[in-house]
Amino acid sequence: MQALLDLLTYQENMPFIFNSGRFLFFFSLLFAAYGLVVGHKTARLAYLTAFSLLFYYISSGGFLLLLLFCILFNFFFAQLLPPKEEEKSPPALLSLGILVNLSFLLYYKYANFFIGNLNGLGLDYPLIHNLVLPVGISFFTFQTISYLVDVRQGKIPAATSLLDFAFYLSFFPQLVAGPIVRAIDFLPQLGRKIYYRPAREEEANSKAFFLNKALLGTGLFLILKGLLKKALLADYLGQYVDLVFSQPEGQTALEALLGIYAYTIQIYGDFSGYSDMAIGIALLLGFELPDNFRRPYRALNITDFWRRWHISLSSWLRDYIYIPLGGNRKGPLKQYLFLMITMLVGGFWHGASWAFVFWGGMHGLGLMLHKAWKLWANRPKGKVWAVLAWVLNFHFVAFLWVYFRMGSFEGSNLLIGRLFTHWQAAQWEAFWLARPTVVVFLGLALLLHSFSDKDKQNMQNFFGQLPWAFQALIFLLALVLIFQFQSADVAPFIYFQF
Amino acid sequence: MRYYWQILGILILLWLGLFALAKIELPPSWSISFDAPGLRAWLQDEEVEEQAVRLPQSDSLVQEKEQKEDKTAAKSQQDSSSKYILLAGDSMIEHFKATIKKEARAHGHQIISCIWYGSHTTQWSKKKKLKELIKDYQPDIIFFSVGGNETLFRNIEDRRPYIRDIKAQAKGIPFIWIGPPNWKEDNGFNQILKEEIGDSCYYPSIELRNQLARKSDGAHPTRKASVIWAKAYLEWFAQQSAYKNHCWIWPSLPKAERRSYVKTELDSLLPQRALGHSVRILELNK
Repeated sequence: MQALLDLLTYQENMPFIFNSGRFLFFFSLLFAAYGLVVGHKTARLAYLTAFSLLFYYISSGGFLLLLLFCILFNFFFAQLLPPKEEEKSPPALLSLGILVNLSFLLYYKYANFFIGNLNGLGLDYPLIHNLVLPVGISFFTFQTISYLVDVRQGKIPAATSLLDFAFYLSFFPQLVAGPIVRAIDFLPQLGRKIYYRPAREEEANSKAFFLNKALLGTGLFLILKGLLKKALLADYLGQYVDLVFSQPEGQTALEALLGIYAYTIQIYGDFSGYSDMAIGIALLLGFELPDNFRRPYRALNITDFWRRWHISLSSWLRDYIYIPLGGNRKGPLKQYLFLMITMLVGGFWHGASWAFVFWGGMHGLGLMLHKAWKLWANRPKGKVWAVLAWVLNFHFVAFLWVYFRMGSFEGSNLLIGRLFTHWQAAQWEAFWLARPTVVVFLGLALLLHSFSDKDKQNMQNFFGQLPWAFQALIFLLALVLIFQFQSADVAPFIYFQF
Repeated sequence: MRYYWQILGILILLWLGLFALAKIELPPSWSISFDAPGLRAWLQDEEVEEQAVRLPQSDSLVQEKEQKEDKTAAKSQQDSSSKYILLAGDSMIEHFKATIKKEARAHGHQIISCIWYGSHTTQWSKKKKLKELIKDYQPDIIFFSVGGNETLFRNIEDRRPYIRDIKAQAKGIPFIWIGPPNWKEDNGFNQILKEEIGDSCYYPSIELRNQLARKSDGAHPTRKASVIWAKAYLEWFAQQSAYKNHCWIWPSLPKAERRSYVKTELDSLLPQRALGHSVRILELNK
């Protein structure tokens, strides 16, 4: 009994992640009784909210109180924000609400960064020790900000039920690493009925949510896909990435290059795998979350990349920073400036270091150059051009990931520098002989990434049509593969740290 | 509710499958370690003196030269003062073992060494290798050095139960844990080792971190550095360890000097049993 309770208790240094036995236990427990409450809205939301809060407690321990404060504060604060047309609430009030939300993020994530930089200017402030970043704070802070802004702008009414709002903010599949769900998309889903059967003819126009065979197949397939992306592909390549990035000075050019490619695949597999699992799990519970990735490494330019990568964040930055600043309405030069500001904020959101700011700034520069290129140059067409554009864009993104992963300029430059100084023909064969699985995994990742939407839909349909016992067997086989390839260390989701 | 039951059914089957899997011993993990024998062959600054044992790919131990010796004969060579030493660890001890062997043999001890490339504490704890080695060779003392691969881990506190389990596997046989010769900042693993194993049975190789030259991979000590490491360890073993009187290996003696000790039987520096070892070696060499 104690062992079971331990599974549901916060444990420092033990991230609570979807691809863990603890989460399987948590979800099984939740789902076992979900059938009893799913038919009744209040009971369903209360039940899922309770489990979501438990989820956050297991993930973050005492920071549950912070989440509860955010729920209560934003729920009641939004009641003070009548829509803009009514001209009752001054903009300063909204700013106050945003500031309160940002204050926690600023303190936990950026305090030591600012202190360190001030100290660099000659001051002498002590760093705050034992400052632990609450899991998911960057995500739910952005959700609360967008909620307050949308309420103020009259896009949505303030939530009238505390339970609805608590559920929206704490819904566990998206709580700690996104997708960043907007209230405008999510709150309307809360009132609808949920059925685990196909809709009957007379229910064709019903607003209820029917989890039919196709949707069930989609949900299960997304979970399986996410599991394999995260726990097999990303975690396996992550083991190699750890070796390369922990010792950049010891790498040959080939090892460094494959390490960079491996991280490029790892971060995609890790984050999109998490998103897939989140969307799949939410779907099994009767809720729809937005897509977060659309095969980003197929992009031929950097603008297209940001339409495909972490869509919920890039659209958030667009809607709440870039467009309010002026977007493309004030001429190209100001547009470039706004793009740069937006991407710098995006970089800084990812982490409190100048390397992240640099990463964001370089993406901002890429976006500016691409916009200018589109404006002034005739865009060449043809397959050769497309291949060249892909190679250029892919490597631009991949090389900037080095700064993202390394977190320091020195190490990043060292690793990239190895590419130009340590080539030896013998490396290819030796690497293949020593680490064939790394090469195979990289090739496999690129192959899977090249599948069309239709191919993926076909695979999803095929999986959805299988008898459920076969589906369970496939999950089990996936778990065996994961056990075999995993390191003894638990690899938390990369985006947990943001 | 048809599909609700279907999801529940999948969850139940998954749990049943996991319980069944727990009963099966899966093959050793295919995870990556920084050991990639062969990868750096063209960059190797030194030639490996002896071919080391490679464990993880097959369940059977590849025995080194001395392991191939007849076990019974080896056991019969032991007398009251001769010891049977088991040296086990990860790739860090590849060259380290050469010096340990040399010194141990010089003093009449038998030594079995076993390198499990890419291993970490989890594997040594969960798999039966160490138990089998102990059972098969019944060593008088165990020198164990694993932890190099652990320096990459984040959740280092998780290692604690594995360390305890490995120590427990020794079942009272004198056991020394030679800490990993870190090539980078320690992540707390050495502190955990110190707490779990105790000062007198844990050798902090980390203190030599800046003195040990590394191979081209930046991690493994070179052969020359391994000699420094091994000698420093033996010195600690002879002077500070819990078993400093258990078996005598250090200091190293030139061959001629060893012979003279035996001839004159006037060794005031060495314990009597060490003298006995030398005599026995000479007898064996005849």
